[in-house]
Amino acid sequence: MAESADAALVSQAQSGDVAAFEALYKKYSTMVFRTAYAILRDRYAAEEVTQECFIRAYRGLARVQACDSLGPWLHRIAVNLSYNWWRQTHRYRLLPLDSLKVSEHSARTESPQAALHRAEVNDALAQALDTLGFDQKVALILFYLGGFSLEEIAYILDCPVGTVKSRLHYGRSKLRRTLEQMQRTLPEVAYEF
Amino acid sequence: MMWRRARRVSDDELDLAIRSTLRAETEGLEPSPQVWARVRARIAEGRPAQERQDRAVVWQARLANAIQGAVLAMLVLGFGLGLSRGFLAPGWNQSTAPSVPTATYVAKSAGRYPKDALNAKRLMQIEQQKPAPGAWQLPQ
Repeated sequence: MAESADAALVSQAQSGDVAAFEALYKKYSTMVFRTAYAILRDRYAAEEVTQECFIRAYRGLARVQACDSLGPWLHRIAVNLSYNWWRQTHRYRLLPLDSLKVSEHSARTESPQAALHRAEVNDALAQALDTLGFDQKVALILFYLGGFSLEEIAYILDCPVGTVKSRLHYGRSKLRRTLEQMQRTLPEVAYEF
Repeated sequence: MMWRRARRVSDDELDLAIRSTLRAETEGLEPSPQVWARVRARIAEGRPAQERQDRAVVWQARLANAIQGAVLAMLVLGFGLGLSRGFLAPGWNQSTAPSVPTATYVAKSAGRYPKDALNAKRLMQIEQQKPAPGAWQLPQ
């Protein structure tokens, strides 16, 4: 249903209908932006990647066939652009201060202790994600955040499915080690009242 | 305070933790409205420019193909003409025939010396001859 709606919008946009392309932008821009942000951890860079992604998508719409799902295609463009950005800046990149903040989203429903523990885990995993190579990190982001299948990730990254499985495996192994190390070093605090 | 023992993190725990981390990082994030405004502006201004650029690329490709074809044709033609003129015949290459030893041999064999050729002695005689009176004389 979604793909057929996409196909109609794509065919309208191919004939020069900017409103149809705007509808596609509204549908996919948040997803593309969040993926770019997760990769680059920089809001400005993610906006630049999103902008360039949709400009290139508009120019390349003629190559899109009706049966294509637009999500993986847009992510393929976005990942390539993110890679170019990452390659230029990763040597000198500093972690933004807001990446070190304690997450507040879970404090509403969890106890303070559980929320604090979750925030610590999130911070540790986020920092561990940053230490992964670009390919492993992107495979994990597309799988866990984008919810793409292995075949779709293989299309986005332009590699075989086996390679995607391998990257996911090694990325997960490294994050698992981080979690286990964190559990080992976290002190167990006895609360006395 | 005491230290916990390392416990193997299960796959479900790991999946949950990674998903939770990534969602927490990107939760509520949206591109600013200026992004679509910039995209729309670039699309509007870029369409004629893009078409011009596409046409230029097509013409460049055609020109490159034409030049390539002409150079190839000239090479083929030149090679063909060279073959038809015996370009690669063995006698064409003069360097294979040693000239100096043969000349030395001919000079030593007086009997085979051409009759109308001038030798050094005859040249000296001509030079030492006094010019006849009234004959033209080269300036000294």
